[in-house]
Amino acid sequence: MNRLKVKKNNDMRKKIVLYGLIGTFVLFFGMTACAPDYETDFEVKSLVVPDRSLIPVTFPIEGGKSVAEVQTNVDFKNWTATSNAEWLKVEKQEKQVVISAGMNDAFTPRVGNVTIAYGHQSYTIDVLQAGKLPSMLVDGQKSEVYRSVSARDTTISVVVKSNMTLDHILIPDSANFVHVESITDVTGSTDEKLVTFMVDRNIARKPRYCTVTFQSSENHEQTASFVVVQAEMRFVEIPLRVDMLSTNATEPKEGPIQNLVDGRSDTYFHSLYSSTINEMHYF
Amino acid sequence: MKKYSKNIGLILLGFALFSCNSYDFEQEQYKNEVNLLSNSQMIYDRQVADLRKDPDTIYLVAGLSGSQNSNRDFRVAVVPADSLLRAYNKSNFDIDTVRYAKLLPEECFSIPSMQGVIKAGETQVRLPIYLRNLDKLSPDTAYFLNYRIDPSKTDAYNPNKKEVLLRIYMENEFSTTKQNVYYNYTTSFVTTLDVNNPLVRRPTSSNQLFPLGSNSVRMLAGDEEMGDYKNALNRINERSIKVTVGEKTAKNPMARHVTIEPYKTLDVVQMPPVDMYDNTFLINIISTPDGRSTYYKEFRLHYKYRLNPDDPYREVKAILRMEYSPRAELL
Repeated sequence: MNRLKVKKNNDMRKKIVLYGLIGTFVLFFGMTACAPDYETDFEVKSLVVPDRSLIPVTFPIEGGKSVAEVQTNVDFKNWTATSNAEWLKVEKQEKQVVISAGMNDAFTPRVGNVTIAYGHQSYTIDVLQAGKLPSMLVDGQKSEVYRSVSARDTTISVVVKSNMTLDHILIPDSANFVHVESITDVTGSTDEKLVTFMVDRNIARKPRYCTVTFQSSENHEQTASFVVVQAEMRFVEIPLRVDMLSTNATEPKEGPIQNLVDGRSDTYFHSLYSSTINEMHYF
Repeated sequence: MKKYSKNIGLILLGFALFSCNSYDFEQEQYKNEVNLLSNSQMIYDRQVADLRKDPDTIYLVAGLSGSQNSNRDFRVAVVPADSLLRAYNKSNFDIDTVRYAKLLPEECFSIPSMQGVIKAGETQVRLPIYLRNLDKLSPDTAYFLNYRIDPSKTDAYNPNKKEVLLRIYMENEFSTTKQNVYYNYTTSFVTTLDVNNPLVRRPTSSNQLFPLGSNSVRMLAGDEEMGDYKNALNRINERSIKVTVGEKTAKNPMARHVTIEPYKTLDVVQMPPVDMYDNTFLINIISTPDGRSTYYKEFRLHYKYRLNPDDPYREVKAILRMEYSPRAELL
């Protein structure tokens, strides 16, 4: 009985040792399984353009220069700085990009952007350059100029002053009674043109209007306009007199032709019926 | 009993382990035959010619069937054919001959060689086809090249894949014939220039654009309607304009000048730029403060047109816009 008990105790001890060893192994593998199989030593390449350098750049008409800071550990030859406009120059330097523009001869501001990039790490800087100040005036004003003309065929002229090329004169289709006749230089002035228009006769009994707009392709937003106001056709009342009337066929037994204009309702004129003539009756 | 089960188990294990060894997985499962690459309708329509390149290159592809690469060369030769095109027209259009697809005119392509070799260890050979003068083609007609294998100069070939129809699609920066491309009207006006009836309409519909040349597209004028495209040829010819995109503007490098002309017979007059309708094609990038951007291709147009000489003109101020992904276009 004792021998059996000792054997049982020995078996129990063996099992404890065995499970203990298995547990230790599992614990060991569990602890070491997450260790990297190999040592990694990647160098993170980054390129950053700080926020203060991403503020839109504004150049005056004369042009100018601006510097954008670049914080990077990328080799100088591996990152890029490009511009999307020919007038906008970029020069890549160590840790910075110099942005420059020359004189803007145009009458409009121009925009462009500079892109500083390394792979997908890309930054864009907007650039705006002012342009020359455009002007366009008709008879000294931009608008609110009215030129009144009579209902007859006539011509009118206005002086257009502009420092741009005058290459568009817009007359609406719905008011095509005004036509450009000529554009001539104004003596002694380099920026003024005398523009003459022909206005068709107005046969309607109401006035009509036409807004003429001057525009330049150098800056289509800068326009000047004036309004042609053409009077309506006016009719003069001419009283009908007996000397304005005639006929070839008055009936002698009835009322004469002057009865038509005597203002009375109890008199009348009658054409010939008591005899014939060799032509059609007229009145 | 226990011993008996153990023996059966061992025998089964032996079978499981050794039974596969008798099969040669390395053997050819089918057979090596030359075929012309196409879909189930014998049409190869996966290539699109770029109108900006003259010439552009597409390929007629001859493949080699089989589960293994061949260890010998296979000669391939093709000759022009027309039987598939006839079958295509008959089955699709029957007696409606006006709509028949056409063979690509000879002036529009050249093939330097009608023969090739699928080399040992390779599965295909590509025969280049140079496409040019595609701007002379109508975007409303389906064009094909039809070739079949020359049996006398080709090694073993698959008789079911001996002929192919190559569909010629065209594209430029603004549109493609491979799929329908629509630009949407936004902030647009069509005004009838009639002093007695000055009707103003605000189109919010879309306008389908078709590529014409390297930098030109066709679209319907104003808010004209095409109707059923299958029967729309006359309406298209009478009511369409051609818009050609030119040089960058001095003001904005993302904008390019456009020229508006009649496509065929329409009386159309390009008008001076006004407000945002400045006759340009603009890549419009709308960015939100959180850094996301939406990209649009936009035609900003100002013109007038009329369908009949006695009609008043209709003035069109239009922004035609299509959203796109610049990254997807690079794929």
